[in-house]
Formats: sequence, structure tokens, C-alpha cells
Amino acid sequence: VSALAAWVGVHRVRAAVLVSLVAWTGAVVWREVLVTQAGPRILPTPIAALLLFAVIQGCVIALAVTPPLLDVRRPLRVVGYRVVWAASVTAVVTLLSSIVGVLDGAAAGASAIARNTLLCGALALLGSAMLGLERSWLPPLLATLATVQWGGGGTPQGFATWAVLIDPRTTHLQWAVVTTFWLAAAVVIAAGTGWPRSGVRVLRFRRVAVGLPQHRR
Amino acid sequence: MALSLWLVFPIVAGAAAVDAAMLTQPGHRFMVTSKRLASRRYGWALAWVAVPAVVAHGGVIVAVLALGGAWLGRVGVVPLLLAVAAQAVTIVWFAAWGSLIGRLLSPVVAGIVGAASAFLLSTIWGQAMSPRPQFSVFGDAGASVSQIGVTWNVHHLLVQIAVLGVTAVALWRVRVVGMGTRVRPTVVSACLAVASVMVVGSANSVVGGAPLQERVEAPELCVEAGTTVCVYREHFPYAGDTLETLQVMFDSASAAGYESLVPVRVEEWSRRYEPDRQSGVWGLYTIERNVEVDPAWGLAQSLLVPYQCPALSDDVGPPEQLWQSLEALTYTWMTVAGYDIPELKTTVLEPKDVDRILEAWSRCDLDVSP
Repeated sequence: VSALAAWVGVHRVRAAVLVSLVAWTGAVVWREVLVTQAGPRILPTPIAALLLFAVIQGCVIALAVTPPLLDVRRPLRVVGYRVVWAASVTAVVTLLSSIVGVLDGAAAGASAIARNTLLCGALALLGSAMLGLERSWLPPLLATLATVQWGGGGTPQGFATWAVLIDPRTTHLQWAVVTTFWLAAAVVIAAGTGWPRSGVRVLRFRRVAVGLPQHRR
Repeated sequence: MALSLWLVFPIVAGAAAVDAAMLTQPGHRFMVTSKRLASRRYGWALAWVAVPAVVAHGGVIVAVLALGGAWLGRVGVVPLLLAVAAQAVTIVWFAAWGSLIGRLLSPVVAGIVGAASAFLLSTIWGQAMSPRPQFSVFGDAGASVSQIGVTWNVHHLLVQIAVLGVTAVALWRVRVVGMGTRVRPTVVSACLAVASVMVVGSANSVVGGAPLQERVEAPELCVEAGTTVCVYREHFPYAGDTLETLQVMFDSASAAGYESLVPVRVEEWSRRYEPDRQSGVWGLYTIERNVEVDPAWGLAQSLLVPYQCPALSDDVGPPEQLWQSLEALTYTWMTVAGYDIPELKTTVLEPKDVDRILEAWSRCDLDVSP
């Protein structure tokens, strides 16, 4: 077994590929859909459904990147490898999901989808480090729901400046902020630091001792 | 009130999915594959998500009602409680949906799959995307916007509660078997779950009728402002400026001898209530909050227009004389009341001319010139 195969083997790549492909298929099928209503409320600015699929692809990034054992101390070299792994996974997922943006009739452009995927990926990675992989979907989902609910209207463009996730165009500033944020999240997850460790350590040990078998965690 | 429910559904479903998935992991499996324990364990996990969400939602509703100062509104306590119950059942249904998703998946993917599927379901079946109002199984039946003159279709609320309640129980009772890394539902449970989702999905097209029913109400809060002016009690706090202007207009008109400009009674319009002009009641446009009050000119015009006449709403449109007369009448009234108005090519009418025009209008004879 090569080193790469072993590396892939210990991460949840299979589940990630499966979820990603299902979401990708959905994105291709619904690439023309515009979300015009949030619950009973008619949105001030319609939002391309493609931009919302980034939540799932972001979770896919967290799924494939999160190491099976989060709280093992690692030498700096390994942290570096992990950042590279996170970057590769993010690149593949972002590329795959933004391809839909260049298809015929796509309601959102490739760069907006890529930006959203990167941002949701960063949020999911942070969520994974802070709340655990099981709840890593919460930050990107909350961010997206809040943006759809409160980010629309108010300005001539049709959405607030902070509502990056529903902006159909990308700016250099957005890219700079999102990329920096992703890098920070990648370092956090790679270094294996979640919450400040001191207070939680006892709990973590208990989880290791009585919890699930290692391969399921 | 229910504007934010669509935000709650994915979160509730995702959280319930993660909990159910963790319960189904090896190590806890004996609790959920045992016939005796399964439903109870999943039930507690489900309740742990659904109950706080329902309580929080109820708290928001109580807070909104308290802040709005309208505890029961106009429709009575039973439809109100049923509407709240329907919204609570929707939250519980999505918790049950998430719980089912979670049983079949591993904890690391259950959350996002539960949340995404809940968003999809609530978007497809929850919104009245169609232009005409119709039953929506995850919808709020228009409960989010306060409207005078309508009430909930209680039949719809009952159907919604029944359908979602029964199917939520069916989703919750789905039993899983298997001892490996994967579990599978029993055949009976799987059929039950599929049937439940199909029932929920078809409910929108099966149930007919509109979610809101007409319940026409006349404005009930009457004040003396030269004549009797009635407004809806909800609009009364914002009616001050309008009532003052009306008082000045009616007082000055009757003082100057223009008795026909002072109606017996003025009533506020609403979308479903039209004051009866045949019996001498004039209509006042709906008073809104945070809307600049019309100057006396606009107020006078809206009072004078003979809206009851069919000629105003047919394809041809009313004759030119109507607008000339309306302008002359308004000009007269404004001059009498001493308001500043732009110079117009019309003259101040005599009281008998005003009587003549208004009498002709009451017969829907709109051809009369000033």
C-alpha cells in the first residue's frame, strides 16, 4: 500500500465522494432554479439554488479532511502534510462543484460557486474542530440560512455587503477574506486544536476510553 | 410569527439525525434493535430536539402577541391555538424525519443529509409557490401576516395536524435491524415510512379550498370628528392626524353651509369591507402605520369618489365630467376649509351646485358638470 493510499484510507473519503456526487447531481439537475421564497416570505432578491449547494460541498470538505483522531498531538511536519491534504481536498471539491457554473443555463457563475464552496468549507472545518465532525454542518448551514433570511435587499445591488454567500459576483476583497479564513480553518483542523484543550481533556479521555471503536470515531 | 419556521426545519432535522445516528452506532445498538427499547430510545432522542424547538417557537409567539398587545386578535382562541399547534406539529415532523435519516446513516453524514433533505422537502411542499392560495402541508396558512377580515380555515389546520401527526409517529416508529456497521429498516417499517412520505407529499394536491376564509368585519372604533368616523381598532393609534384633518374639513364645510359635504358616517375601508355608500356612509382609505398622511386634498378626493358606481371599474372608464366635478368639489372644499392649494382653472361652487353633483353621483349619474 502506498503512502497516499494509506492516507486516503484513514480519512472518510468514500463517504465524502458519495455525498459530494449526490449533491453534484442535484446541482446539475437544478442548475437553473432560482429560490424566490424563503418560507412564506418572498425574497427581495432571488437566489440561485446553485449557491446553496455549497453548504453540502463544504460539509464534504470537512468530512474528507477531518482526521480520524482529532486530539493527538502532532509534530509540525504532520501539520504541514495535513494542510496540504486539506488544500487538495478543497481544490478538488471546489473545482468539481464550480464546473456546474459553466454549464448551459446555470443560474450562478463558476467563481461565485467556488467562493461559496471555499467559505462553507472553511466554516465546516472550523465547526469540525470546535464542535466535532458530527456537528460540522451547523456553521455553514446557519451562515447560509441567516444570509438568505436577512442578507437580501437594502442596497442597490439587492443584498447587504456582508451577505457574501448570495452575491452572484465575486470581488478581490471577497476572495482575499475567504481564502485567508479558509487557511486559518485548515491550520486549526490540521493542528488538531479545537477548543482550548485544558478544560476539556478529561472529557476527551473518557470518550476515548469508553466510546466507540477507533475506526468509527 | 411563522416567518422563521423554514430556518428551524433544517436545523431540527439535522440535530435529530445526528442524535439518532449516534444511538444507532455499535456500542449503543442493543438499545435500538431491541423491540422493547427501540421506540422509547429514539423517542427520547427525538423529543430532546423537538421539545426545545417547539417551546422556543411558542415563546416567540407569546412574546410577539404580548408586544403587539393583541392577545386573542379577532378570530377567537380555538383557531389561534390550532394554528400554533399546526406549526408545532410541523417542527415535530421534521425532527421525526431527521431521526429516520439518522438511523440509516453514520453520524458524520447524518447531519448534513438530514438538514439538506429537510430544506428540500420544506421548499417543495411548504411554500405556496403557486399564485393562488391553496393548502400547504408544511405551510403556515398565512399566519405570519396579521390580516383583518379573514380567519384560518380550521378544516385545513385540522388536516395538517392529523396528517403530520400520524406520519410523524410512523416515521418515529420505524424499526431498524442488523448487527454490522450498517443497519436496515424492517420491511414493514420501510413500507410505512415510504407511505408516510407519499401521504405528506400528496396532501397539498388532495386538500382543496383556501387556507384563509373571509370573515368580513366593519371598523368598530368610532369617534366624533364633525361626523361619526369609524376605524379599525388596530389602526386607531396611527389615525390621529387623519382624524384631525377630517374634523377641520367637516366643521368648516357645515359652518359655510355645505351640508352635503358632511356625510352621516365615514368608515375605514379594508380589503374585504366596503362602506355602504347607498345608505350615506362614505369610505376612508385604509390607515397605515409609518405612511405619510395624505394632505387634505387627497383625503377629500378619496372621500368624494363615488366608488360604488360600476362605471368607475369598467373597461371604458368614467366620463370626463366626473374628473372635472371632482376637481371642482375638492377645490371648493379646500377653499372653504382654508387649506393651501395650487391655483386651478376651476371656481368655488355654490352649496346648491355641490348638492346637485353629489345627488347625481348617488344615483351613479356621472355625466354631471360643475
